[in-house]
Amino acid sequence: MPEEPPTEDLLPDDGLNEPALGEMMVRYQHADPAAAEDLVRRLSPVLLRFLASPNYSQSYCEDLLQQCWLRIHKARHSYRPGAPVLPWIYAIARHTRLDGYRRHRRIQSREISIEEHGDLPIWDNQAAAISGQDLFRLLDALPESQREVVLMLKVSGMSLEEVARATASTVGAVKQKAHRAYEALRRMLRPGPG
Amino acid sequence: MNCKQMDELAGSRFAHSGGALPEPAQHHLRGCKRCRDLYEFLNQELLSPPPEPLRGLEERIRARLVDSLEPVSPLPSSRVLVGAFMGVFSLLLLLVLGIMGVRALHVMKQSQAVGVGALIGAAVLLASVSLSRQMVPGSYQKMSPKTLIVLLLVLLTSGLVLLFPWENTGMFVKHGVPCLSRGLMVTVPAAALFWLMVRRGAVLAPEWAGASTGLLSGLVALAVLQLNCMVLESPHIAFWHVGVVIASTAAGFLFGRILRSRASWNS
Repeated sequence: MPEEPPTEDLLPDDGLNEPALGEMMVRYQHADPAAAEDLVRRLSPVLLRFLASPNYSQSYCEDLLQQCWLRIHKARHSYRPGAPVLPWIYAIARHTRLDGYRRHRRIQSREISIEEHGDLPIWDNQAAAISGQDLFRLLDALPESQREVVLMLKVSGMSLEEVARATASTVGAVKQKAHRAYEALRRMLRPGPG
Repeated sequence: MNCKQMDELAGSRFAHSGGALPEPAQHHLRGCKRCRDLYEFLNQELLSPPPEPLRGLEERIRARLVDSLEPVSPLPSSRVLVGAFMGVFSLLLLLVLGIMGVRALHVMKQSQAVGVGALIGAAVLLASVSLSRQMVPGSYQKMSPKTLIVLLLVLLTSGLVLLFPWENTGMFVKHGVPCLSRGLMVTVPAAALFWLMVRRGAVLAPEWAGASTGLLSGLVALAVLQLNCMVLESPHIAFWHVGVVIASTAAGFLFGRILRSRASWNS
């Protein structure tokens, strides 16, 4: 296996740069409003992608995002300076998503279908150059444990160790979930007969 | 390079950047359509813009955060938290034993006393470490709280059964119920104290934090009973003494479940 090149050149844009996020978190703990704004701006898009599902309306997804941020705000004292930020953020986000899923199931079983209200699924009004809806649905078809691993690894660029921390799991288990997810995606991407 | 190695590369920071792949990986992609399709799919997902929150939503979120923004002190380190849990355990134990006495210690064999101390001490340490990690989201946990609780209960039961003779001199229920009552009376204030410490963190799974808190408070009761109860028989210990720990753990789990169902937990 060839050596990996230095990661500094290959990190995603400044949005998810760990040292920058860590510094912002410390300032956030010190009640710096600019730090709060920076964090919201940088992390909201990836959090929204993580929290969303094709089965949810846009308003529901955004409600989840707000809840996630409120939980982050309430839990900000539990972030330890120097520790990686993304595992901490995603641990909170995945519990928000899980609670949101449970609540959505309860609502669905009691109320009229969301489509009847004309509240569009989140991807219907996104202008993606590719068929984002198909990609989104493929990912959402995976078991939750595999979906979240793929999103954390690929969208947020987290390392295996960081994903293990965010999911309260081990590196071996994360590798296994990722491998199973990729196998499942390979099967889904295979063209059908005829 | 095979497909599994490509999977590992697909998940790495290197691949995340969309940069040039190493030659073995490029060679594999040229020959493997399955991996080529997967790699293109994953990169498309990367390059596609993430959903943008509605205009104004970020501003509303920011405004809500800033409204209640005040300085906070980070939680102490894990070692301090673990030390605190074990310190409170020791203080509670000393306090209760000061009232109830340590009659059983005088009739136990030395090996039994050491074994009981080692078993309970190790369980308290592991439960304290687990709780300290559950207080910080994204903490590294080698073992899930659920697995640890089950493992500790099994090890405690089997360890205590092996240390003491398998005898039953009668009056199993008559001797057992007072132990259970005394034990449960100890667990309630212990659990309250431990929970006051736990809630200073940011617990994401209140059921398992509750169960771990119940376990820790049950261990206080177990230690008290082992040092005070004169019935040194395995069936009695396994059922009534360890039963207190199991009951306390289960009560903690239910307490956490109730907390989660409250709307305020999720806001």
